[in-house]
Amino acid sequence: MRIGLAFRLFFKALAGGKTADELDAVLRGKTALSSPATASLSTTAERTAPEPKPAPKPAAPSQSEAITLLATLQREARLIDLVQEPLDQYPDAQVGAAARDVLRDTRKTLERICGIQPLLTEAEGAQVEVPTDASPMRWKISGAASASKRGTVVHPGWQATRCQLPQWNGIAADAVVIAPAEVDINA
Amino acid sequence: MSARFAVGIDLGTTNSVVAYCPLSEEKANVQLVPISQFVAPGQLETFRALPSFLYLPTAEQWESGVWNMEGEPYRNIVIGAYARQVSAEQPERTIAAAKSWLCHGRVDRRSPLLPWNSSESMEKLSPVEASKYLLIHLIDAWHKHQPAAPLCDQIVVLTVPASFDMAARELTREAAIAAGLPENFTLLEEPQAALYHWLQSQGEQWRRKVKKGDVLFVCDVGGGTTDLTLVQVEEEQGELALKRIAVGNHLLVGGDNMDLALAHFLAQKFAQRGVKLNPWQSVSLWHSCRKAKESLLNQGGQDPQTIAVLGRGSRLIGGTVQTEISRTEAEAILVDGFFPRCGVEALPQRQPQSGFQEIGLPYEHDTGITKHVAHFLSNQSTAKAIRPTHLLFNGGVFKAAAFRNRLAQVVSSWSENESGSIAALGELEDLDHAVACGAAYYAWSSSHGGIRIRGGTARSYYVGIESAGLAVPGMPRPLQALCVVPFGMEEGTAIDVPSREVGLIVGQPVRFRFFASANRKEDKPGSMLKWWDEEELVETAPMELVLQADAVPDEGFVPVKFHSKITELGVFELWCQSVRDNQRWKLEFNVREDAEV
Repeated sequence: MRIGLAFRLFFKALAGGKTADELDAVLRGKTALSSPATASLSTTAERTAPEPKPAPKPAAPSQSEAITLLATLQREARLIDLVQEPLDQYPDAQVGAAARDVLRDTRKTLERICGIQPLLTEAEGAQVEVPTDASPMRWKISGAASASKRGTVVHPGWQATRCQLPQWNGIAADAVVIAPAEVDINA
Repeated sequence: MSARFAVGIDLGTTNSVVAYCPLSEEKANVQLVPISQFVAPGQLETFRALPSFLYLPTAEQWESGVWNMEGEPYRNIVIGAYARQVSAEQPERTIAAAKSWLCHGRVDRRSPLLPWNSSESMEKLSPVEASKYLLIHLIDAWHKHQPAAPLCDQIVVLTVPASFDMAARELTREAAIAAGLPENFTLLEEPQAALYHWLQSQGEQWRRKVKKGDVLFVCDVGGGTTDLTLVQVEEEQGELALKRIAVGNHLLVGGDNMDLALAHFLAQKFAQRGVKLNPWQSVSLWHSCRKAKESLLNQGGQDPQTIAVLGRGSRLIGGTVQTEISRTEAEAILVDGFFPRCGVEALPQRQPQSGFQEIGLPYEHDTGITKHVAHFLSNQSTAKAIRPTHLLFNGGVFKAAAFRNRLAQVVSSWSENESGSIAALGELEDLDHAVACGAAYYAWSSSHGGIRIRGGTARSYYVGIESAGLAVPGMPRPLQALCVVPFGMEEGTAIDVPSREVGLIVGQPVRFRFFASANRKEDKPGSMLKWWDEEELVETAPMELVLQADAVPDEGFVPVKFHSKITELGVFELWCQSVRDNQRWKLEFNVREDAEV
């Protein structure tokens, strides 16, 4: 059957005219076979009127993924509390005490959500061959401008192996919330 | 529709996991079902485990819509990570350890009493309902993962603690059917499931790792409970076979106790320096201890380690207090506290009897798990304690090598020959998921002809019968116990219990006290016990039936004998068989009437 169709298309195209132009457009991916003239070419294609589109639902409010990530890091590691606090008033040891826990939990959370891994398997200081078509996003080249593409890894880079953010559902006005206000009800 | 998957559900005291395995594949390929759950209002995240916590929000909170899950499998309840997180801050709105309440014989397990100790005005759930909602959440997760394979069409295995008695198993089944599990699902004991997981990991190799006569000891220490099981390696027609020979009592001690013990110790350290922790900081300290527990015991980690309690409010750095704990201190609290060195004759301290007892969960008085193990092993025979040859760890607690090593050392020290050290079985990466995976493998192997651990009932069961004789005013008639189910009665068998005839009164509830024993292994069906040790026979929920007057035409009572049956699915049935004709009536557990609440 496909052979039959192919032959008919071949001869229509050879004959030129409107049909040929349309076929040309279809093959270039510019348009779909839709006019009555072209639809008649096909023996099997069903001609169905496009379904009347249902009235578009109001889009559910969404939250910027960046805010979802900040909210997650605050919830699980209190990262926003840490970076928002003025540091001048505290000695380093006090900052360190708080930071140790926050950083540990931040890393754990980022690991779960993004699966952060080095971009290069080679360790820092190792010799590596830079591909000729190296993307500047993946490779930051420094040093002598020579024909050689060998170099020493200064930083292996980072990549996210996944991005599994929590799903957010709430009302539009709450989409900016990173952490709720906490209130202790007096007994 | 025929089943496409074998599904194993681990309904845990603190965490629940669902594993599955396509039936079509020739090699069991077990995977975990991702479980979507709230981590904050309006924030859904997917994890491989569901914390078995329920949070009951206010009606207004629920109506705000932030707790809406796709398809709304239930209303007015939030289950999982968020519920666990707020359980410490809002105990009167959260339900924890519903499963331990399910086997707590001193409360009415079908009446709404959870959250325990919350105000009267709160809407509450019964332990059975709470378990049902946890299962509904798990079933919903399954359907979101495999929408084309309804769970009721699959081969499903649900695990229960080996220590669960008949009544608790029955209630679990009731909750499971109400939640939507297929009627023909199977109950499997958790330590056995862990052992099946090991068997799967070994393939046929397991036959080389153990030999006839070996005794495998499964020690399952979860968040809230400890479950003990012994499995013996036997030989049948030249093939090695496995038989479960003993299970321990339900012990309410686990990883949560350890975190709390550590937190308590550190709170004292703070107090010595004049830092008094407020309730919020105490909760925070408890969380820090949970996180630090493993690394504290790890060789090669920092020593001493800093434990910080972050400041509340946005003043994080300014409000942070910290203290140090050395590995020696941590080992003293955790390893010596929970796995103390002891002899095999050691006895756990009993709860001091007092006139006034709180009804809440009967937590173990003695947190020495090794002592409970010693008691368990000594109790199995009158002659001498059983000496296991192999040890299988299960439960997240055993991620810490210090616990594994200590338990192995202590159990080895009980060996009669000097060199008799116990061999550890199994991998460690699956400690949190082994039960669900093992259950799925068990379900898979039921259609692929894998090995079965035999064992039958883990206890013998008795009906209490008042002895005839002269009544003494003010004294109850002496009670005798008639054995109706012997230890190790296998699934798919039935027994006519030889005994004297018992008269069933027509038209009013007939009630039998019911007892279970984990260590009277020699009693035969029909054995009549006139006297027993209080520890030997434990009373469970009574069994009863009402004989309708029109069911029996003649006089006021019907003489009957007992007929007991364990179905292929492990469901226990006790029948009263008329000795006059073929009529018989089934007794049901009554978990309501004996309640003290």
